[in-house]
Amino acid sequence: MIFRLSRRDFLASTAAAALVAASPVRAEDSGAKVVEMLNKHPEDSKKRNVFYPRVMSVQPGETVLFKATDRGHNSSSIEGMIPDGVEEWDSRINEEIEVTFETPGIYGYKCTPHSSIGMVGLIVVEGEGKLDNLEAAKEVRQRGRAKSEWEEIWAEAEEMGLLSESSA
Amino acid sequence: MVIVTHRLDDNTQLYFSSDAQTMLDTFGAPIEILPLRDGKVDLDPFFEGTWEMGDALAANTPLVIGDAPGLFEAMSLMLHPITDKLPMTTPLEGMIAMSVCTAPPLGAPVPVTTMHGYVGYYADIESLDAPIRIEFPSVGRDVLRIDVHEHDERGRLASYSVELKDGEVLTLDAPRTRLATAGIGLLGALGLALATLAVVGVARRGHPARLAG
Repeated sequence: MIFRLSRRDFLASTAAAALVAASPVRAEDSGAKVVEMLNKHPEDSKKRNVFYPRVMSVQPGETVLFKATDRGHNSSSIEGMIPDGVEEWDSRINEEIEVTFETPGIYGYKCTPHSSIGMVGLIVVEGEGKLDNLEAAKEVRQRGRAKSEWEEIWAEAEEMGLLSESSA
Repeated sequence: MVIVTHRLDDNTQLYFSSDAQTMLDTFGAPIEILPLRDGKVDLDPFFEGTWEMGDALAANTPLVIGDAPGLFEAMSLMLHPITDKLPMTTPLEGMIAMSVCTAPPLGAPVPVTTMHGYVGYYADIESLDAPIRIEFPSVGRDVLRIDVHEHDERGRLASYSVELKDGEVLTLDAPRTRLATAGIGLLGALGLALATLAVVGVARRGHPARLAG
């Protein structure tokens, strides 16, 4: 199950105040992992519009903050690239979003306006059955530069040992 | 108009820029491919992604690698004020210019004539040995000057300008073909020079003999 918490929506909504009360600490301060949404890769200025890091492994129950470090980006799960039955997420542009991953599996996501330029990323949630949706995720049709970006991401995840059951 | 090519070993990218009206006219696309409000361009929807606009822009302009059309897909399309044009001579500059994150602040819709357009296309295939043909349609336009900047993974290969008549196909030769042609030409010129030197040398050696004889 994915739990979503949009900080901006929350601040604008009294209903969401209860959620913040329940989770008063920023995700990054509480040890949650952070994916930055950037106009420029911090180590390679020729790479533009990136999630950093673009490949990440988390344990079930961990939260990831998609941090709007630069403007013009969002985080949105890719249809067909998340496990069956889990909730999709789709933040607004310039909006930070926290996603808690409960179900082991492969989670592909994108920046909506920049996915065709290759601004996509992968989160692998460890645990039994984490590779169950791997082949389905790989078969999703990608557009434009996202094609070669996903080839690199799969290779990177393979090198990190994330795509073998043994790491689960 | 400016065209930037980026030929890598596993993909090919094309970037175009010109004032927005000329871009629409040259590609043979109606203004309706852009989101409009009160007849002006509404930039707000650009933040939801613009590749569909880019595909629509090229609907009447086949972008062909070798003999294969339909390999290119739009990555992004962006408009910026014509008074604030962005640099566009390298693939990186093309990438930046067409990205929505460099868009001007949102506000009221803008007349298309006040905007400069930037669009990029991507093909999941290399074209190091194949020409790229850009088949702009005949739309009754004037001769169009196009500045072409060609790049591969090592950097800039060539920059040149062409004048394209209405309905004329723009062919960007494969870099290797062009280099090979240039190499053959160079070798030919070198061979000719060596042959000339040899003839002159023989003549000079032979001349005193003839005098002596």
